[in-house]
Amino acid sequence: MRAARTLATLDEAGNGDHVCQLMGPADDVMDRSRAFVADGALFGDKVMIVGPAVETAGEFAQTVLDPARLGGSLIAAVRREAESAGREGYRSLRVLHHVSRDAWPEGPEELLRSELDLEEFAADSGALVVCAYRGAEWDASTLEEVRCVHPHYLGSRPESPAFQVYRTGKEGWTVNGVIDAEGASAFGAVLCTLLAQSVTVRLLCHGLEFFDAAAMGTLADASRHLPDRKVVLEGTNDTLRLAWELSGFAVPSIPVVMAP
Amino acid sequence: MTLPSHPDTPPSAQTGYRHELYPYTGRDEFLQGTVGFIQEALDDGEAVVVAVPQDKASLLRSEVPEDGTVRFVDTSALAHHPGRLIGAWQEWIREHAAGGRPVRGIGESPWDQVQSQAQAEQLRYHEWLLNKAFADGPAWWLLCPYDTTGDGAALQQLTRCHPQIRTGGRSAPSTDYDPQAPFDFVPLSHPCDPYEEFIYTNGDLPALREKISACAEQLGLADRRLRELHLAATEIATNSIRHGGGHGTLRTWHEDQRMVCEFRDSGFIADPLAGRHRPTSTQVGGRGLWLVHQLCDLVEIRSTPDTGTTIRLHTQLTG
Repeated sequence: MRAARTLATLDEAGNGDHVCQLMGPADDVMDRSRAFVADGALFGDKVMIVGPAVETAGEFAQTVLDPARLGGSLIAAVRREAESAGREGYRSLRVLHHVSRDAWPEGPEELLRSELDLEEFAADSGALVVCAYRGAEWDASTLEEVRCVHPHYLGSRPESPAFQVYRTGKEGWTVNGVIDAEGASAFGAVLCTLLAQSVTVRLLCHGLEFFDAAAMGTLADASRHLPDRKVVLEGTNDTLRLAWELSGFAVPSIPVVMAP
Repeated sequence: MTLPSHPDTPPSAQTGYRHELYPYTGRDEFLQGTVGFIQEALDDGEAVVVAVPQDKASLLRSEVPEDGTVRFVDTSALAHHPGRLIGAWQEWIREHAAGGRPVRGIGESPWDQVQSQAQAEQLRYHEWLLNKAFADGPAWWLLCPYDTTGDGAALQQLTRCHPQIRTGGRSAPSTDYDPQAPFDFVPLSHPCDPYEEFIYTNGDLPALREKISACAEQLGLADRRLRELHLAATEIATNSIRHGGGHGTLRTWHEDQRMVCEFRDSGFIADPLAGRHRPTSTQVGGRGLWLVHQLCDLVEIRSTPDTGTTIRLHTQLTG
C-alpha cells in the first residue's frame, strides 16, 4: 500500500515512489543525476533522465531525453522505456525528470496532467519517478499544484503540501490532508485534470482531515465542468457529508457521491 | 372554546408578509388566540404551519387535528438555534404552499427555556430579521405567541420586532415598531478570563484550527463537534482574510458550559441576512456564514462600518 511520506534524502526513495524534489539555487543537476544513476546501477534498474540541460548525462545514463524533442508525450516515452527495461533484464525503471519551465510552454495545466500521468505510471508499474524542480523557476501556485500530486516529497521546504492526491490501486486516488480556501484552487485544478481523463473519478478520503466551503464549491464546480462525469468520494466523515448537504450541493445536477 | 372574531383585515386582502405578536397569559389564552387564528385560515382556504414547543403543540393538537391543511413541524432541533430558523421557515412555507394556497404560520420560541442572555438576544434578533427576510417574498402571515407571565420588559423588546400586535382576535400596528430603525443590540459581554488570543492572517488557517483544538480539548470537545467548530471557524477566519482587512483576532474562552470563539476584523457585513438563507446549488459563494449558523449552537454577529465585525461562535459543552 502506497503511503505519503517526506524523505530526508533520495536514498530513501524506492520502487513505486513518485518524488517531488525541490532544489535550491546551489543544487547541481549533474551531481544529482550522477548519484541517481549510481543508485540505479546498484539496484539493477534502468535509468532514464529527462531534462533539457543534461546532454552530458548520456555518458552515464542508459536513456537521456530532451522533452522538447520527444515527438510525443512524456508519459508515452516513459512507458516505452519501462517496457524495454523489462525486456532488457533490468529490475525496474527509474526516471529522473529535471522539470524546466521552458519545456512546458503549454502552461501549468499540461504539466499537471503529465505529473498525474507519471503518478499513475509509478503506482501501476512500480517504477521510481523523481521530479526535480528549481523553486526559483516556478510561480508558487504551479509549484503547489505539482507538489500536491506527488505522494513523496524531498526538498528545501520543511513542510509537506497541505494536501496530496495520489494513485491508490487501479482505480482510486487517495486524498489526504487539509483542503481549505488556501488549497481549494489547487484541488480544483487536480480534479479537473483527472476528470478530463476519466468519466468517473474515485477519491479515497479516509485520510482527508479537513474540507471547507471553498473546497466543496471547487468540488461541485469541477464535477460539472465536463458533461457525463462523476466524482465518488469514499471514506468521508459525517461532518463533510452534512456540510455538503447543507451547502445545497446534494442535488442530482451535481454528479458527486459522498460515501462513508 | 369560543373562537375570536375575524381580524379587521381579511387575509385574502393581505399582500406581502404579515408578522404579528400575540401576547397571552396562560394556557387558555394561548389556545384561544392560536385556535382562532387557525380557524380563520381554514375558513379562508389557507394552509397553516405550526412551529411551537412540544407542550404547546400537544395543547393545539387536542383542539386542531393535523391534516393536509394544518401541519405541525418539530422544532426541537431548531428552537435554540435562532440562526437556523429563517431557513427553516422558508422550507416549511415552500413545502406547504406547494398547491398555491396562502399560508399562515404560528411560531413560538421556547422563551422560558433560553439558555443564556446571548440566546435570548439572538431569538429577538431573529424576530426582527423575519421582517426583512420575507419582505419581498410571497404573501404569508406569521403569528408569534408570547407568554407574558411575569415578563413585561421582554414583551416591550418584542413589540419592537413585530409590525403588528394581536389582541382579542384583532390586530393593530405596533407603536414600538420602526421599520427604518436598526436592531437595538445589547452590547456583547466581555470575554471571560482567562482567554486565549491569536492574531491570524493569510497562511494561518491551520494554526488557527490548532489554537481552537487546544482550547476545545481542555473542555472535552472532540470528534464531530470539534470538526464542525473547525469548519465554522475556518469560514469566519477566511472571511476576515479575504474581506476583513486581511487579518483578524481570535479569542477563545469558556463560560456557562459553552466554549466561545470570537473573531474580530475590520470588515463590514452589510447584509444582516447574510448566512440566513439556504444556498442554492448554483449560487457562487455565500455558503460560509450559512454553514456557521447551521453548525454552531449560537452565533452572534455585530458589524458596523466604523467598528468592523465581531463574530462569536458558541458551542455547548456536554456533561
